[in-house]
Amino acid sequence: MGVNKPVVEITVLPEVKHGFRIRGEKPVVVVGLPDTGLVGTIAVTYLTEKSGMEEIGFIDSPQLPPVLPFHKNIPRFPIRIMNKGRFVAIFSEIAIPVDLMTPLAKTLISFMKEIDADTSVLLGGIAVPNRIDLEKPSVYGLGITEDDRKFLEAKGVKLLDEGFLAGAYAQIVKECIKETQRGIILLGESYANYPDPGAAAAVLETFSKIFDFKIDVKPLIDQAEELRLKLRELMKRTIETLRSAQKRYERALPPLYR
Amino acid sequence: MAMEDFFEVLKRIREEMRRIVEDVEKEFMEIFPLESREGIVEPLTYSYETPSEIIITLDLPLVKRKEDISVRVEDGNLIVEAELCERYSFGLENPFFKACTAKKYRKVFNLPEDVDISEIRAKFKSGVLEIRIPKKHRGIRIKVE
Repeated sequence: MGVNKPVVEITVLPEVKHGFRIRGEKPVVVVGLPDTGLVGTIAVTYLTEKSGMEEIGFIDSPQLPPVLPFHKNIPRFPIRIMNKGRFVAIFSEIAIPVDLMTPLAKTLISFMKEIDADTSVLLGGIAVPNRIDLEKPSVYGLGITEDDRKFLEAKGVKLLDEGFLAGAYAQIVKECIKETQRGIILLGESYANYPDPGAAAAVLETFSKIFDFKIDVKPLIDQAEELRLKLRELMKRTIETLRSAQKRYERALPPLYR
Repeated sequence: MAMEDFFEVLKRIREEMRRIVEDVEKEFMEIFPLESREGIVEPLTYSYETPSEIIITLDLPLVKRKEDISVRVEDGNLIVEAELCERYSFGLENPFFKACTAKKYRKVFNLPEDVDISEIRAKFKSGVLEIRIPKKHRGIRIKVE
C-alpha cells in the first residue's frame, strides 16, 4: 500500500465562448441560475424565448456534470449566453455543482468586465413559509453598490434589509464587490422546494418595470402548472446542490446588536 | 482470527453488500421510475416538524379539485393519491417521455409511532396539499420556579 499523497486541487475557471459585440449602450447582463423555486431559471429562459433573444455563446467547465440538453434536435450547452440589443442573458438548464459556484462567479464577472457591462441583474427566489397563501408574491431587491441601492429605491423596489444570501448568487455578489461591478438582485417570494412560475412572473414584472423591457407574463402564468410538473426533476437536483450550498442560511438572521 | 471476529467481519461485509445493492437499486429507480409506465408520478414533497406537529406539503400541479385527492392511513403509512385534471403527455419527441403519460400522483410516507392519526388535517390550495399531523404528547409538564 502506498502512502497517501496530499491532494493538490487546481481550480480551472469555466471557459466562455461568445460572439457579443458592443453596439451603442453598455449591456445589462441578466442571470438566471437554478436556485430557490427555480425562479431565476424560469424567469430568464422565458425572457429569452419571448423576447426573441439570439444565442451568442456558452459557458462550459469540466466540473459540470456530463449532461447535454438538446432542443428541436439541436444539442445545446447547458449554460448559454443570449442577446438582444443591450440585454445579455445567461441561464443554466442544469443545477450548478457547489464546487463550481465560485469559479463560475469569477468567470461571469470577468465576462461582464470584458463586454464592459453597465450592470448585472440576478433573478431568483426567496423562500417564504406562507407562499401557499400569497396570490401575488412580492419582489425584493438587493443592491451591490450604493448607486444600485439608490436605483432600486428610485424604481420603487422594496429593499431587503437584513439576512443572508447563499448559493451561486452569493458568490457572484462577492465577486461583483471585489471587482466593483455594479449589480442588483431581484428575489420573488417563492416556494423553497417547488418550481414557482408565479414568483418568476412577479420577478419579471419588476425587471420589466425598472428596465423598461416589455414582456407579457400572462402566458407564463397560464402554463404555470404544466411547468411545475415538467420541472420536477431539475428541482430535485437543485435541492440536492442547495443543501450543500448552505441554503438554509437564508432562513437565519445575522447577529445584530442594536 | 477468533471465531467471533470472523462472524463480526462477515456481518460487516453482509451489511456493506446490502447497502451497495440498495444504493444501486435507488439509483436505478430514479433513472427508470417503474411507476411512470402506469402514469403514476411521484410528486415533489417537503416536510418539517414543529414541537407539536409534522407538516408535509406536496406539490400537485394540474390537480384542480380537492375531491380528486385521497389521503388515508394504512398499516402505519400515510398514502396520498391525486388525479390530474386530464392525462398529461409531456408532448416531446423523445421515446422516454412519449412512454410516460401522467395521470395520477402517488406518495407513501412512513408515519412515526408518536402521532395522532385521528387528528390529521389536510388543506389544498393553489395546487399544493398541506397535511398537518399532530404529535401525541407523552411528556409531563414541569413547573418552572
